[in-house]
Amino acid sequence: MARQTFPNTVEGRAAANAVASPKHIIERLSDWGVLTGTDMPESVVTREITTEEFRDRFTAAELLAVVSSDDAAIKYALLKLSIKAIPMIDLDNQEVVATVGRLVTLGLITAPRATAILSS
Amino acid sequence: MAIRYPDKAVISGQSVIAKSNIPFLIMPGDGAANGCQFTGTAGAFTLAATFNTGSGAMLAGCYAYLSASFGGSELPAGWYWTEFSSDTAGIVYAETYTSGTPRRPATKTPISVNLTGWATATTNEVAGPTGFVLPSNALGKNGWLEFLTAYIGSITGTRSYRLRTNNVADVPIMTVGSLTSGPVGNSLTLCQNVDSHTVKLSSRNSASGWSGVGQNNTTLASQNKSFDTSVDVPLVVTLSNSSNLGAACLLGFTLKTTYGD
Repeated sequence: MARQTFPNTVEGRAAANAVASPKHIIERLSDWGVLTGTDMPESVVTREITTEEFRDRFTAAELLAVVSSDDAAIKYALLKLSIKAIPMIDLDNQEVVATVGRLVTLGLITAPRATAILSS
Repeated sequence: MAIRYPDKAVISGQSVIAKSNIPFLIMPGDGAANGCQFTGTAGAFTLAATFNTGSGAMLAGCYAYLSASFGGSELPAGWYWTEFSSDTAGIVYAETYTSGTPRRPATKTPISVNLTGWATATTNEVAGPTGFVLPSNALGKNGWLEFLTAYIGSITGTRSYRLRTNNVADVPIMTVGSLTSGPVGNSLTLCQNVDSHTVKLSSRNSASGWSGVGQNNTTLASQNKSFDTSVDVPLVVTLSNSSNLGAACLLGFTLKTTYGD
């Protein structure tokens, strides 16, 4: 079932929590509703951070190395970043991931640093 | 009894359907060493750290959600009247909110047992202000619904504030998302009838933020609605946080209708 309701009792809450994940629980004084499958609302978990937060994930030396690079792809990425209409970065965006990977290829950051920069 | 603002006669112009000016807070706590800790005297508590500097003064009177058996008690989960005396201390009282326009309680009764231990906040969605009704035909076929919210919280996790029908399995009418980077703010989200009681378009409905007046994005997000406003629609406002230290706090909201023929 995609929608289930359990009484707000010790047993009811245990049964709600026992529903297989992924699930979304709505707690009410009278009962707990459990939504699964396509009835689940959009996840509240997001890997979007501000451009400022993204900048702060780099060390000063790394930032200097990036802006000093003559690589066309890096210059292009910096230009796009500087005129971004919405100052947010999606850490799962393929272009972001590829650009950070490019930094590793160019030796401007290490692979472990790339992992850290793209972490939650 | 459900609250009807105003009576069910068609009212041209704008009408206030529901409102709350009392803050609703999901009390933060990881059950171990962060968030709310009860100090052993009735409902007195401290926070290991403020979730937002200056929040204490804003929460001198609020309803805080605490999960069942909080503080080592056998008390049920619920919205308890709470008064912060500073950013990191306060008292939870026995009076609770159940339904209708939230009010300050007439009395402040100390919790009958001495609460101890760390609170564990839920990361489930929690029904908050409830018992409101969008009267039948309040929007007409071409009216607007406006959901104005004010909120604060911590920079940990993300928070969502949703306007739902009482059938919580329905798709939310409005979703206001508050990101890690923006836990403090106001939002005005809208829903319009498209010459129909059931065909509706709304603001972006996104738990990932960027919904409401002034918030622009490149993508659509769950903006087609179909709930029927030719009949009474019972309403509830919910809160949620993705982290038990997220401190989702709905400072207040207003729900207004503008009738349209």
